Amino acid sequence: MARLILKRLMGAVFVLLAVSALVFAMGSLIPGDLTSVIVGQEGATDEQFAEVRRRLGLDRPLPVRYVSWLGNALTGDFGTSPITGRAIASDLAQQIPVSLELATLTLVFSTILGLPAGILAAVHANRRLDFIVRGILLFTFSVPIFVIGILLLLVGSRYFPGMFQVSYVPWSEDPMLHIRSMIMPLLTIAFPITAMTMQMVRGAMLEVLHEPFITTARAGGVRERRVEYLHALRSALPPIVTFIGFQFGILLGGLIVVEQIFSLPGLGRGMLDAINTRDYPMVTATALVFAFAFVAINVIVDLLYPLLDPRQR
Amino acid sequence: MNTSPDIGVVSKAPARFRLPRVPFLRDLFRHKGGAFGLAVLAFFIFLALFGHWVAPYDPNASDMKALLSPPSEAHWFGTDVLGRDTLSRVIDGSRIAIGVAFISVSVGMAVGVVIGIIAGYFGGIVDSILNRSQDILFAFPTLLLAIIMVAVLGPGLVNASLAIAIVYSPRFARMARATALSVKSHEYFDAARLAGVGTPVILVRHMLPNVLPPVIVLAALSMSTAQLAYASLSFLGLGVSPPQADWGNMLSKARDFITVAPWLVICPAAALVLLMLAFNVLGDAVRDVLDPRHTGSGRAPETL
Repeated sequence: MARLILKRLMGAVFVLLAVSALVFAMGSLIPGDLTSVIVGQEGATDEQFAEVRRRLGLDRPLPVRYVSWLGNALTGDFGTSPITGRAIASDLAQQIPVSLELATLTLVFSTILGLPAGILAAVHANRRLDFIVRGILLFTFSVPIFVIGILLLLVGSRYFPGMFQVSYVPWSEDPMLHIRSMIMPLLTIAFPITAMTMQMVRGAMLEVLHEPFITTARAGGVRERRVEYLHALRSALPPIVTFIGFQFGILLGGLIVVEQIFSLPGLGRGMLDAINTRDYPMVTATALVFAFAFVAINVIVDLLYPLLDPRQR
Repeated sequence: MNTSPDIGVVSKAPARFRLPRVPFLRDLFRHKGGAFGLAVLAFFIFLALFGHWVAPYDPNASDMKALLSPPSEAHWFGTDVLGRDTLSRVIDGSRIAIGVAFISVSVGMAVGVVIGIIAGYFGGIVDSILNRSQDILFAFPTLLLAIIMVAVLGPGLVNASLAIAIVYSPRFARMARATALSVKSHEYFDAARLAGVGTPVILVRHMLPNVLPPVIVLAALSMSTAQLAYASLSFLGLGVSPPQADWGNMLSKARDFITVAPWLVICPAAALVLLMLAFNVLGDAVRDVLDPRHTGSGRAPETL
């Protein structure tokens, strides 16, 4: 068990190193680097360029810059943004909680709703209830999340103007307003994610429901509800949990879009702003945080697996 | 006693996939989803090619007398804040939507197939290096990776398509590699080598035709998500540059005027959803036709 944990952690560290090196190298190699953004393209002398490059440390070779950047990043210091002039770490510290809250709420919401719905669909496989569930699925596969978001925005602003707070309010300022400002983003992203959970649970449950031990349990007189929710779900759980790790990746991509639609000051929006202002240190930092979140959740899922499935121990 | 060696008896690759020839198109038309998908796709391709003549207005011309005008006889789906006709812009945007989907998937497919065949054929160090690097790419969620790529390459139509192609190449490489490995174990392959056929000829004549059919199925299935990924990038402002009309971009602008001009949303959203639905259904149809053994309809989306 200890060896497995170690192996997984090593793999995760390797992936993170590779991603950070890749993002850092690509950000540094493309033409029109930071200096031209800061100095401006016209009217700057070569000396001014050289001066700015020296100040930013861009005159050193790439591997040296990467190692020093990585060393600083490991201590939580991502440097100062040359565009905003603020410390990147403090910007991240404000953005991460917003995104984390939305992601956590989405996973909780989608699991609470998607799990029973999936079980229901599996138990009623190929009957009317199942068709309704699968119809919703086909719809969500063909409607992009930003269309869902905009439609919700349209309906919300028109028919429930008081219900939905569109602009973001932090929890510390006004908890009630905060909850109201999070409702629409949550609904937008939770809708397709729940549908995915539902589909996954349905598939996993269908496989298990045909196993002999289910028949045995039924024959032994165990109540149907108990068979469905306890016996079957218990052994369908490992693939479902693995899937949640995969889903988290999709969720991260969706977060960026949702934050943009509803102007949430989260990590995704920070990244987009940085992309548009060519703020490469910020882009690299946010990309790394996203990569870290994705890798971390997958390591956790991998480690949960043997706990849920004794055969894997 | 059978002493004659089996020279000339070409052992067939498993007949799981057939090369797409004319019967393929016929089967596709008979497939009820396929016919619908093809029809919608043909409609959009027509708009993409001849939209210039079909569109009622110049997509970029602004009519200062009709700013943000609601749907009317003159402008069926209204006008935007610069007085540009929404319908014309949606028609013009179909060029981008169709083009990006086809180009990014084709480039991703070409790159992936080359990498996959090389990895599968040569094996050894080349294989493990390619596999490792592809694994890292493969581990990442599609949209997130595409955004990171665009962040690094810089926004724009070409870069966005390129990013999507890069993101999509590993899955093609995986499939090509698996098929290449299975081809290598067949007798006709050994026969060709023993007959002294050169490596390039073997790769093109014997490897490629076997590798392509499963890869084409994958390409068909990837079209809808590639289009969606581009629309998302464009919605986030990482796609085309402003005057050019583009569905994702239009929706992003429409969001700003959602309370005063809700009609701006309808047309681009409908076009986007319709084309995605067509790609989805068509992808399933192509798979059903080329790979009849596959059953079940469940597949997970890669992007939102």
